[in-house]
Amino acid sequence: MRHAAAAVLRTVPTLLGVSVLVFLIMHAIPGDPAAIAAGLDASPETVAAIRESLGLNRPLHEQFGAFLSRTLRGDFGVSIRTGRPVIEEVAARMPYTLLLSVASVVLAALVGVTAGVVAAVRHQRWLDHVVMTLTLVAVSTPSYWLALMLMLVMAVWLGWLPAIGAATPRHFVLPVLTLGLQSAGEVARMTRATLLDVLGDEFLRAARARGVSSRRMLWRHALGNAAVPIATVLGLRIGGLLAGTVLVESVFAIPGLGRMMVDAVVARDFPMIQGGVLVVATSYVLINAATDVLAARLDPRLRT
Amino acid sequence: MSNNRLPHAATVVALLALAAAGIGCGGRGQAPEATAPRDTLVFSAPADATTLDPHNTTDTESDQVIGMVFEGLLGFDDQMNIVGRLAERWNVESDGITWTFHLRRGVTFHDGSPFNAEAVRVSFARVLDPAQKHKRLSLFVMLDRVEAVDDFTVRFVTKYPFGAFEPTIAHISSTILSPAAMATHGAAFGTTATSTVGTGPYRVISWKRDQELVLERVEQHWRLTPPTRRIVYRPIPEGAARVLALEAGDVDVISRVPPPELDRLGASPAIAVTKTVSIGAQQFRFNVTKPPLNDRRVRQAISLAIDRRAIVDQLVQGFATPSTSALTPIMRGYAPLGEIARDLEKARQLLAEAGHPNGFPLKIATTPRYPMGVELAEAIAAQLRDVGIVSTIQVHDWATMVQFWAGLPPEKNPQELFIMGAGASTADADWGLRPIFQTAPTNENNYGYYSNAEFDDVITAAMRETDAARRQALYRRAQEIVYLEDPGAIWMYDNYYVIASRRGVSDLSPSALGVVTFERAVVR
Amino acid sequence: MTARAGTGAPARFLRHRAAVAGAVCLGLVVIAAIGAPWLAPYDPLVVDLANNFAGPSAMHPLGTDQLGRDTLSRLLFGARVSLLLSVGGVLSALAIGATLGLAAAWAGGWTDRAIVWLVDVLLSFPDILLAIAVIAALGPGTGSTLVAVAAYAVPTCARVVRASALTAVGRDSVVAARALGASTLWIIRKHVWPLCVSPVVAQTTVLLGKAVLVASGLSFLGLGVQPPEPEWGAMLSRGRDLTRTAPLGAFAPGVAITLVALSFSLVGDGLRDALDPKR
Repeated sequence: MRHAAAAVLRTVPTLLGVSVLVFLIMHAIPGDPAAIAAGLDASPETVAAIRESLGLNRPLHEQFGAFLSRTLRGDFGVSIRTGRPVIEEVAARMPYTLLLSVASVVLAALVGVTAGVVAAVRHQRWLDHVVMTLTLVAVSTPSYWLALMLMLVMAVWLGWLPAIGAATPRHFVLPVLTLGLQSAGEVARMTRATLLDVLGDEFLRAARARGVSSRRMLWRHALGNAAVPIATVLGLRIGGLLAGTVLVESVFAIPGLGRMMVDAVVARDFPMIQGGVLVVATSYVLINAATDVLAARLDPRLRT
Repeated sequence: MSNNRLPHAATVVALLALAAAGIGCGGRGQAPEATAPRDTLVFSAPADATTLDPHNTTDTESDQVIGMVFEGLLGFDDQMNIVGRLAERWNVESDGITWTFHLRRGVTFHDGSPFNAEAVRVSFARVLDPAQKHKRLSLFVMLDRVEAVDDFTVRFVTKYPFGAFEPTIAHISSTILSPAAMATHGAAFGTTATSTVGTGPYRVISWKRDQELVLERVEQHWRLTPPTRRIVYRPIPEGAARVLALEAGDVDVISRVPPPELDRLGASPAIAVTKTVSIGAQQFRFNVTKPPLNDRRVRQAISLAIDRRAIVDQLVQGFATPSTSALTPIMRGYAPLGEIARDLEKARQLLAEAGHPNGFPLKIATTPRYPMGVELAEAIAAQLRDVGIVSTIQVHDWATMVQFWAGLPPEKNPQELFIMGAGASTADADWGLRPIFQTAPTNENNYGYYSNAEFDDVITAAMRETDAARRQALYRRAQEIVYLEDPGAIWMYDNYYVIASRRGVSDLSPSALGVVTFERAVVR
Repeated sequence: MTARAGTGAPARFLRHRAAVAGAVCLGLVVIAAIGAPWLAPYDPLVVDLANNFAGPSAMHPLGTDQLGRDTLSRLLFGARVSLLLSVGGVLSALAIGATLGLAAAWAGGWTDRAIVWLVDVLLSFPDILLAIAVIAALGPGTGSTLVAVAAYAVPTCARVVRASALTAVGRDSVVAARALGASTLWIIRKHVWPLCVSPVVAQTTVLLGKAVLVASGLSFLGLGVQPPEPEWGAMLSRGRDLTRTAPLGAFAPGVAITLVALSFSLVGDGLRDALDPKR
């Protein structure tokens, strides 16, 4: 419990840094949110009025102070583009992104661990190479291209699944497949490497000599030891997926956080970018903290 | 006044027929008769609506929905003629600045509150109040005041005679909002399903951002009760994915078809493609303060060095026709001045006269926000090489492009030749020329700092001219100047508004404004 | 300690068949990139509108693109830019990341805490936004794309180097050298850096593969390398509307990106196995 509290506490400086970084970036890049919001045929008076109402003409440190104090009070402001509270916009998209990330990581764990075990057991044999190469093909393919190809085959040619949208669980099959297969490569790689570490060549030789019973030993002992690094990789993947699925969300028309943030950057919608980045960064550091705590549970040596 | 006939309606009809025949489409009336109509139509555009507040909308996706939910005193019909909507009749006094509208009776807003003169007055008071900072305020700078004469009569007074008054009142931002909803929601009007209340044939029943926006028809609407009960807007950002979703049957109608897919979709027995002549044109505009672009001969030479035919036929294929003037044929005030054909000899001669016989280096700025924006810049760069002009292409994201267009003085603006989509949402010459090319100290809307004294005079006179024939003559002169004599841009081509639909969907109403409405649509 | 990674490593790498295949594939790409001016049948920049969207033929083995440019020639020349972006981006990231990582491990205390904090902040920042911001701030172009790719890779490099360097700093040899007053740079070069090499090499190759994908993702969002310069990511993202009508325009760069990213990963795995025989 104390460990968990400490882990959460350690995230505070990181989040503060993220807030500063996102604020600096937004003000360093060209593009005037007021001009974009006003539209192409707006008068300069309109643009100036919008700029003033957004507080963009105040000095930077004042803007940052206001942003920080609002954020600490849990007020993320109102989106420039849509006129709705940022917190509502984020909350509306969070479930889709969460579902997509968690489901993809579960798929990645199933495929990745299986592939990793098979590769480790057949270390340096042809099956090792084939399995590892196959799992790496998905990681190596640009995600939007993989997504379009899956859509073409599964939805248009075969007609098995809906092409786009997020209305029913069936709609999530293709995006989860895309993201899950891409994450599986990393999981497989980590599983294989850790297993080889744990097993050692002697164990492998002995296991092969003893046949079936050692297979159970492999699953129980070796995988038990490999659980910590695998959990860490999976945690990192969830964290990464929460932020980085914009390409796949765009292709499958899923109203997730990644798309929201890229749209916000395109429109220089400062409150939305700040809110979105903070939420994503918070979930990232919290998931990392949770993974650390979990790892400590699984492996007493890591407890400090 | 209401019979303000469009001179080129016939052209449009002919083009439409040609388009329909040419690609073997024409969705109307070809639906299999046997199947019963379905009650839902799903439409996919690249983006969600950003707002449903008519006073804040600046994008097509928002206009699209607003046009189904709200109505104005005036509106445009399919051929861009001005027609009465919430106004039964209207007239202008001899002073040219006082307009009286007699309103339709018995119309109610979706929330049950009655439509009357007070609703009109309050609606316009909202957009005209500078303190509320609505994005469409600048459209109404000519309005002095709006008064309710009695329950069903409204008087508008403009600051000066304004030739484009009717198109402005027919504009999407002149639609009437429910006073009750305005009072309840204030600045949040139009940001959610419940805060969006108009008098249109559809009302908003749910809006999940970036996922779906659902409209439901109003039973017994005063104007028409739509055949299809529900319209679902489901944005799909990726062009390729939009096409795949249409082919897979997930959606019924899509807009922004990727140009290379047009032929294939047109040939498909399951899909119908509809092309509509639109107000949209693609230009590359000159920053006339950058030497040697300050020399009109250089600009003429560049315009003559472009092979618009090749670009239209090969690159954008069926999506456009080469421009024939500074406005598109469907706009009020358009004067046909002819396509500018490629003439390398004349271009070289003009360059030599201007002192650049061997060409010069040129910067071309573009953004992928416009369809084929990058490819167009590459094609132009290649064609300009033939007269010795060596171009560097700069691709910017939208926000960066807008930065260059936001009231910068010339010395702070590095752009030379830059892409620009034109499309005056009032479909009128005034909005299509005046803000864009009239002399201004900074580039607030005249992004290329264009300045021509005669043009300024003509355009000012035309704005105040309410006699149709004299107005047309003035706008013809303005177009001759900016299109041919002292070019303000390379006019590339006039866009068609293209939508693709599943066969079985009929009676769509695509408009020249680049939106499609579904109030008569039937889905089988 | 370096001896363990020394003699046996090349042999172990050669036994790793998938890695060898990857290395061969990368070699071919490098040859294509260097030899592009001689291998390519056409100038990759020459526009021929009359002949666009052409299918494969004897004249154009992979067809032509939207502007009638030869796809094969653009693919060959595109290898240069794509390799430059990934190799250049990751190497610059490595230079910065290694400096940060070594400094953190060596100095410890507040320096270490500050650098770890910085790395944490960068890692928890959505990477695609960071890349977009870099390009928006610097203006588009090959150079800024390279910086964006580097910005993406810096935190990972710093983290890997710091972790390896930390174990080295705790070793008796280093403690002894410090006690004897040896110069910091000398100790780092002689006793700390060698221990970092094998994890760094393995990690770097994996990052190289990812960098190719990051660059292509930026092109998808309309950023990245400026036209008319050929780059695989841009070719793929601009060809994606043509998947059905002129498939080769999208397939060729797509396959090229996948192959290169895959090869980098395989080589990375092979190197990891070879340099660290325990695995």
